[in-house]
This record gives sequence, C-alpha cells and structure tokens, in this order.
Amino acid sequence: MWRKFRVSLILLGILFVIAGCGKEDLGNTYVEGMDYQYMYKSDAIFTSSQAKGKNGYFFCKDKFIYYLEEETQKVTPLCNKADCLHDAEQDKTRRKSCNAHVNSGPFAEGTFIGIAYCDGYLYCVDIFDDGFKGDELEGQALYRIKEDGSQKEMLYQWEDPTVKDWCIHRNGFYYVERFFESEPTVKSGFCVKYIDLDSVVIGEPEVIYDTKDLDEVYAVNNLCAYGNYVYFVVFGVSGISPNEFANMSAKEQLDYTFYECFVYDLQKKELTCLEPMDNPYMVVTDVVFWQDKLIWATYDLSEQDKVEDVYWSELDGTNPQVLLENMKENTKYYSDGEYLYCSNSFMVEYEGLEETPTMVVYDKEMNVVDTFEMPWCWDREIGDSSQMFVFLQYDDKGKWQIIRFDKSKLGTYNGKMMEYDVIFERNLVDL
Amino acid sequence: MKSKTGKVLMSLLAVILMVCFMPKMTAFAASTITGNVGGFTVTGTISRNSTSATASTSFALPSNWCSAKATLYYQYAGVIYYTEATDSTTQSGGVSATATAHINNAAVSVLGAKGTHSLSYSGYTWNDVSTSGSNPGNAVRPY
Repeated sequence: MWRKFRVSLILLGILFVIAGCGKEDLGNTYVEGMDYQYMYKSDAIFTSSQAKGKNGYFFCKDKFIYYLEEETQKVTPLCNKADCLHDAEQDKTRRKSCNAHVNSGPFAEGTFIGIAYCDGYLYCVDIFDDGFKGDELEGQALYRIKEDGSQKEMLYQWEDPTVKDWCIHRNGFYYVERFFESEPTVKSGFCVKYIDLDSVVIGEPEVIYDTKDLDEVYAVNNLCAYGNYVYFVVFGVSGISPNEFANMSAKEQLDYTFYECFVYDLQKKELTCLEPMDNPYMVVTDVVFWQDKLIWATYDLSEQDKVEDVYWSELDGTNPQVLLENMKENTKYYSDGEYLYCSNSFMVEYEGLEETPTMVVYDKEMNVVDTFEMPWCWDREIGDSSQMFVFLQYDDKGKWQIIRFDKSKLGTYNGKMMEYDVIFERNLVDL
Repeated sequence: MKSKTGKVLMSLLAVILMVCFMPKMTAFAASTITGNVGGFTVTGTISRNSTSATASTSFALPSNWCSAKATLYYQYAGVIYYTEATDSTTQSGGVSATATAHINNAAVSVLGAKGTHSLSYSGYTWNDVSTSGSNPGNAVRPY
C-alpha cells in the first residue's frame, strides 16, 4: 500500500513538473536568452525578421532563415542537413525540406510573420506547405528550430491564417488572432492569446483579451513584452455602428475612435491601460523599453504637426515622468539596452520631411552621445548594443543585402553619414 | 454659320469648363503588370483611392485557379497599418478575380497599395505583385 502511495506521489510530482507549475519569476528586468528581444522589434505591420542567439544572429529574408556566426562572421542558411542545397536548390519541392526554408513571399505577407529566439530555439510562424489548400490560403503553424539548425518541429497549428502578430517571452507564446463572427452581424475581431511553451503537451491557448465589445476593429498590434508585463495596442471603433461612423467627418469620428495601449500583468493576470495625462485625445501608439522602464510613444489625435513631451514610467505605467521635451511628433524611439535612439525616418519616408534620415543617440544619463545620418530610412530593428543590421532591398524583384552598422563607432560621427559594410548578398528567390 | 475654327474653339472652351467645374474627385492611382502563362497573357492590376484598393487578376482562358489580393497601406496616429481582401475563383471561358480592401476612417492617410496575383493554367503557374504608391513591405530603398 505504502509503495503504491509513494509511486503515486512521484508520478504526481513529475506531472507537476511537466505541467510547468510554479514558473520561476525572472523579475522586472531583461533576461538575455529568455526574454522578448525588444531591440529587434520591428514596426506595427511586420514582426521582427532578426533575432539574437547564444553565439550569433538570425535573419529571415526572402524564403530562408540565415544565421550569422559571430566568431567566424559567416552567414549560412539555418539548416545542417548534409544533403541539402538550401537556398541554392532550384527544385521548389526539395527546397521546402530545408530546415531554413519558410513560406514567406507576397502571398504569405501577414501570414508568415517573423522570427524570435528563446531558450536555445528559434521560433517562426509560417504557413503550411506551399500556402494553398484548394482555393484558399493554408493555415498557419508555430515552428521551433534548434539553434544549430539540426531540427525543425511544428508545435502548434491553426486551420486558417489567423495569427496577425506574436512574440515569445520567457517560454510563453503570445499572439494576436483574428476571428470572424456571424451573429448578430458579420464582423471580424481580434483576441490576444497565450500558449505555455514549457508544457510537454501544449494545451488550449489562454485568452488574455478580446475585442468583442468593439463595433469595428482595425488592428491589434505592437505586441511586446518586458519583465512581468505584456503590451499591445488596440485600434477600432466603439459606441457606433461602422456604417454611421463611416459617414462622419474626421473630427466627429474622434469621439468614437478606440485607441488604447494595454498592459497585461503576468503575475496578477490583470489588464490595465496606459493613460496619457490631461488630454482625452492623446493616445499611446507604442512602447519602448529602456533602463527597466517604459517609454511611451504618444500621439495627439486632435492636432497635427506639433511637438510634444515624451514620458517614461514604471513598467506597469505608474509614475510617468517627462523624459524628453519638445520632440517632433512622429519621431520614433528605439532602445538597444545601452542607448536610446531618436529617428526622423518615419517623417522623411511618409510625411515628406525634406531632411536626411538621422538618428540622435542618448546615453543613460540623457547626454547626446552622437548624431548620425543614414543613407536609407530604417524604422525597424535597432540591434543590440554592438551592431545594427539593415536589410537593403534594391528593388521588388532583385538583389538584397544585409548591411552591418558597427556601433563601436558611435561618438565619432558628429552628424556625418554612418559607415557600414555589406556582410551578405543574395538575389530574391522566384515567387 | 459657324466657322470650323469657331467650332474647335467652342469645343476647347467646353472642355476647359468641364475640367474647371466638374466635382473634385480623388485621383485613382493604378499600375498593371502582365505575365505569360503557357503562351497566353495574364494581367494583374492594382488601383487605389483615398479609402480603398482594388486588385484584379484576369486571363482570357479558363484556368484551374485565379486569385487576387488587395492590400491597402495607411497611416493613422503616426503608425502604419494595412487592411486586405482576397478573391479567388475558377471559371470556364475566361477568368478574373477581383478583391477590394476598404478603410472607413476619414482621418487615415492612404500611403499605397499592393496587388498580389496568382494564376494556374494547364500545369503552368504565375505569381506576381503589382504596387501603387508607397508600400511599407519594401522597408528599405536606396535613399
């Protein structure tokens, strides 16, 4: 009897371990190798195409994932199959058996969405097979690839291409899923869900948030995480039917526009919103992490072409303080952990600002370390504190390059053009 | 009796008046691409205005598969967003697929649009992309 009881106890213990009970609290700071890599955050449309591993960097461009080994400085497809030609393979069917292959491309945009590193694995969300089942786009799957490219496995799958944004943080997979409702009226919505990757058997995703109370939803995006918090932004319409809303002026629409940046506390499992001060039309469009704090990227919906103060707060949004004063609206902010970067690229590319793309770099005491010009607009991954990588696309169907910007030269530019070197070059694989 | 020159001048005046007094319309920006599938021409078009983008794929023969996806890129609150729509079809006697992506918000500023086209005919396949305006998908261009 006692023996049976002991066996049961041991089995119970094993089950608890397997189920991932009592997940370790890693605190409200950045844990290298385990945490969401905020320095590789892309923009609101694209999930990151870059990630940092234990001994190198990962890039996803065109239809392959590449690995830059830091020691050898060699870039290779992330596949160690001996009989694989990787990106040199001409046969499309054989090409798909390469561990580095992904189904990105024009049809997969919004379906293949980026890569992320966590705890010895590179993750990607991709579509099945060649992307089509009969006359519809195939569903999506979460894949996990060993850091050395030796193994690729599917962890979870969705019947339809519904995953719109995702991030991995402390072995948790957080994602934005689009759903369609037919009752009482046909409308689409979004929810934010969570899957525990520590579990041996991956169960049903947990719903963190859904947009069912909104009348129309344009997007749920900018999903990211730091410490014990996950953040995302919801943009939609609330309190009026979409048809009535569509017939209003921009000014009238303001009162029915729903734009909120949510903060999800992983410990308390509670949702709150970041509340900008004293202005009902001020919204938080994105967040940046720096010095274990939260920088708020804000925008005043009621005015345009103005300057504003930039705030930072505790990670849960409490105690906001002014960090930078009189910054041009639509300045974009990035942090690599060491420095804070302020860029005018967005204004140059999308708002006709007739200036050269420029970054101003601050150190942790808010001293300007350097200012440098860039030969292109780049509003995506800023990289770690040692280097930044840029994908340079020459045209829609031609050559592309990986450019490296060595950050050890920061402090020497004084407004001059940044220096860079080309570390990799390829032609686009056929569609 | 009016002279020939007078008629020409009157026509010219009518055209000028039409141009000046016609209701203001948002310009439609469009682009077209063509391809060859088994010796026959396939056409992909993307057009956009201030609230929508329409992509179409057309082929003169029945095909196994024809699709068009329209992606409309817009800016709101200093953030780039997109909305998309897809249509696919199989028809006899000529085939075309048309998809329109809308954004019903007066405060957005449309940046550009992309048409993603696909056709399968008699064992041949064709995939291509047409663009209009600024496409954030091409994140980096030589400055």
